Amino acid sequence: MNQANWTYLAQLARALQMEGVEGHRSGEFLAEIDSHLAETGVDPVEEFGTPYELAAELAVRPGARRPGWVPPLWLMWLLSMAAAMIAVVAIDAVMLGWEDGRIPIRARSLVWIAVMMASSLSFGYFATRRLDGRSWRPLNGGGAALVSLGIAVVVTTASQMVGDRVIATVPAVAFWVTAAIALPLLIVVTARRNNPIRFPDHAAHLRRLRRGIFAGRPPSGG
Amino acid sequence: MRTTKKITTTEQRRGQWLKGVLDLCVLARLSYGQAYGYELARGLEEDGFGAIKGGTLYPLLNRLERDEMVATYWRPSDQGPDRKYYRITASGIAALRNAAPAWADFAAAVAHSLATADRKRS
Repeated sequence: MNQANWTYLAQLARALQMEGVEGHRSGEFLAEIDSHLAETGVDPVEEFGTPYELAAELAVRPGARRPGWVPPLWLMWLLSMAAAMIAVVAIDAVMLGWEDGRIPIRARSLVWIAVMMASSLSFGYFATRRLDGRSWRPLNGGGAALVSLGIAVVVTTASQMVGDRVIATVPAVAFWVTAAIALPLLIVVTARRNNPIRFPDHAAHLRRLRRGIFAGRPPSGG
Repeated sequence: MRTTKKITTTEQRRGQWLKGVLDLCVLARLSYGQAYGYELARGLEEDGFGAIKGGTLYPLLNRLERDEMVATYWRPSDQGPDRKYYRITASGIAALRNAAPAWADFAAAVAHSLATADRKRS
């Protein structure tokens, strides 16, 4: 299999998961597309359209979605951000303690939250746009290290600038109760969203496509 | 320029017609033999429907399978990965039998309408 076909299948795998298509149906579909591409040698985008168009064709029909409720992406994002916010404030509170039954929210915690929100939103935008094209590649080790370094520099600099002054406090009991509810809720929603692709036995060579856009290079000799 | 536009319009119209009847054409093909996706696409092309893109055919086959009009199985291929074969089910044959006279009536009505208009113009 060539890299272009492999990348297309990896993007399609990700798109099918995002559309909530059943795991076994996604696996069968990917195996069928792989078979078609191998036999015809056609350009995947010319033949099938973009991975997102193809995945949407499969998902919009009634019954294509899994039975039961599949949480939308925006809810996942909102809950993840809320959980991250709680975690940042909680770590701060545990490290530095709190007084008079109230948890302090420090300015630097807000910096962390802002950076997390900005990086997840910008990555989502970047990934969505590039996934729809044909040249998306996940960051290699060096690129990922550079981005991480950049985020660390931004957070450290901004934290130094805003200092650790307390900008608000919240009742400790309410805070810990919210934290105790938010974490299991995030786990439940994530589990419902999780929809692993199940490939037919004969398509074992495609299993790495479960990683979606991080599937890397095609299997040799596949 | 005008010719190109005319051809495009005709192609677009054919595409719209095909969208409405492609499921029947696929079922008709499968009613006299099992086939895998690419084989079906070539068969439809031989039947005069032009090239059917995979992006049109496979989602349609997926819907037919979900609606139990066709059943599927995998068969090894000596040219590469296994192929997914489709065969028509009893429901598919029933749907084909029901749709065939309805389509014939519809096609006859369209032909009659166009022929009448042609006759009255001349």
